[in-house]
Amino acid sequence: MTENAGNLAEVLDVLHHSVGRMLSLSPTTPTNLRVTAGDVGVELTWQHGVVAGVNLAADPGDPTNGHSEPVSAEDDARSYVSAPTVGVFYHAPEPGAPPLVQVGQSVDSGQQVGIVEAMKTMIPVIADRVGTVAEVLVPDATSVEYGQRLLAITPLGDD
Amino acid sequence: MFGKVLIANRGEIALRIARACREMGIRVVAVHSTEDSDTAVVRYADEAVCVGPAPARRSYLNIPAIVEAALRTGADAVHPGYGFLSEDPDFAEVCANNGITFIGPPPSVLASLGDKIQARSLMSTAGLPLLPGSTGPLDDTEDARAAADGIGFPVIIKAAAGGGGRGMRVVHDPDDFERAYLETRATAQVLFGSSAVFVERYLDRARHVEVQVLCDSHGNAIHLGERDCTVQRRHQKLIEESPAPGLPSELTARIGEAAVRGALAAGYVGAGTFEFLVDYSGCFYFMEVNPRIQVEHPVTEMVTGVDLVREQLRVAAGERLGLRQSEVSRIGAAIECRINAENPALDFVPTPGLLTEVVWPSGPFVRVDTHLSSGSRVSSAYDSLLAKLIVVGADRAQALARMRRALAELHVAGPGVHTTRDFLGQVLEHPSFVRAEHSTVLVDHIVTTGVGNISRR
Repeated sequence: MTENAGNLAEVLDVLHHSVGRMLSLSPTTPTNLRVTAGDVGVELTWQHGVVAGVNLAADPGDPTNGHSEPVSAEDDARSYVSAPTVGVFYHAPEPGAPPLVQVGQSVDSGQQVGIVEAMKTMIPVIADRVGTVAEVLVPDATSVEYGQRLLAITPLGDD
Repeated sequence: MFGKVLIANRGEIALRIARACREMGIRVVAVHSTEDSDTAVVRYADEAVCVGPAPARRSYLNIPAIVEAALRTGADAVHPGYGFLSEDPDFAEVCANNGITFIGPPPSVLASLGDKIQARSLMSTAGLPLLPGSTGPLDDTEDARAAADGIGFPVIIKAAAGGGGRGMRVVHDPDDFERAYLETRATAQVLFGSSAVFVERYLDRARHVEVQVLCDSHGNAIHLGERDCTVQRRHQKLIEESPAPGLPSELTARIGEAAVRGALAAGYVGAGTFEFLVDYSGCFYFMEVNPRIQVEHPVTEMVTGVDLVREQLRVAAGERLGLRQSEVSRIGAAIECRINAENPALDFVPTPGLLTEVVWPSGPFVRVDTHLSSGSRVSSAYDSLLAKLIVVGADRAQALARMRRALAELHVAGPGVHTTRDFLGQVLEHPSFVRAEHSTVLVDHIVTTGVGNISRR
């Protein structure tokens, strides 16, 4: 996108229409969509076994501590719990203990769903809405960076 | 030598450090905020870690996140660049406690030089000349006023913990002193977390001359000559050059020796800069030490041929300096212009935005240190430096001609984006700058008499 501003607006407009058409042709809605403008490129990702909503805002943006991201699709949307800091993500509060949550389990808003350890400090990972854990995206004891998606939640009573 | 270095910075300096590492066979870890995830250094680095959201407080100043990133990626050392955590003794100490080498002076040296009052007393003991000033913090309006009266107006009120040209106020009229004193204290508290201020004689017509020093951990210290940074706006440098034009070499040699003496007295290790004011009677006065790599370091590199970032890495790894004082020689004259995304016609207000067209100058004896290209976005979350344009010539006249040519080749455009290019061009044409008879008031003079010319261009 090295042209001038008018051109940019035009590109965005065309992009908007093409993406819309592309998604309407897709058999199931993808979980991720990546668009590259220079030299053109489209990347769609489907996660098997998951009925997922569309998240056009593929970048985690600026999630704050433990806040799930809102998703743009209206039905069946997933939201994500992201890492509150760079560190090591743990499923359980201590070694050998059972994980704080498992797939299929329902969670409350404000419930702790994991831990990120940074500089020997344990920072709780908190769900910010009521829902069901759809997927744990990062294995136990894995390094994560700030804003990285840790868990997918299917919100309940979301309309 | 280190196997892997984490760069705790962003922008052009992060890329410049990454390049030095690459040349030395060192792997590079970039850290970045969510705002900077698609930037040059992130693409250039071997690994990149997102450490926080856009506000620097939560990303580039986030010590636990950065140290954690270094530990996670197995970095042996952290290069802090300039600004952000580069002068923070706590950061240097946390790095050391975690077995990571901080590329800079020891924490205790950062602490004593970071306090300008302590630094003044340390350098005074080492025999460096100082401007008349208060010897301790002035916590009381009466005492401060008495100190100012004793020094004689005009005076400058400075935050003890200040830096980067912020937290200082010049007072010409004694009647304005109390208000300026209280305001500087309040500003210092907000910016630096300490309201301690001191008062110093202010020199109206002076040159800002600084000396680049290099010290290793084996007690060796050398200087690489001076840089003249007289062209400033509100204590922010716009143009820097080496050698300092129009100053007798006997004088600059004495300033260089004073800097080395000061560095040894402080127990300095690494690359650092000693700042001085030089008045028109040929007297020089110590101002402060910048214990880090500086924005304008390329000017020294271009005339000495010494890669300062490489020397920082070598010294931090415990090696000896690569050269002795007698082996330092300078060839020609180098000039640097800082190209900022600012509008000079509107009091240099920052103009962030998308850069739709970018053409950097090139050709013989031209160096451009930048992280931006067409399609880059200049974030409003960080500083407005777009690029540093550096040229070198056989002498100052040739370097000036080359800089004019290079500036004319430079083209940066985008919706709402302005640059300082044309303003810098005006400074380069100004007779007192050309004759090297300028002082620190030059830019204010051009601003008050010539801004109309800029906005019409």
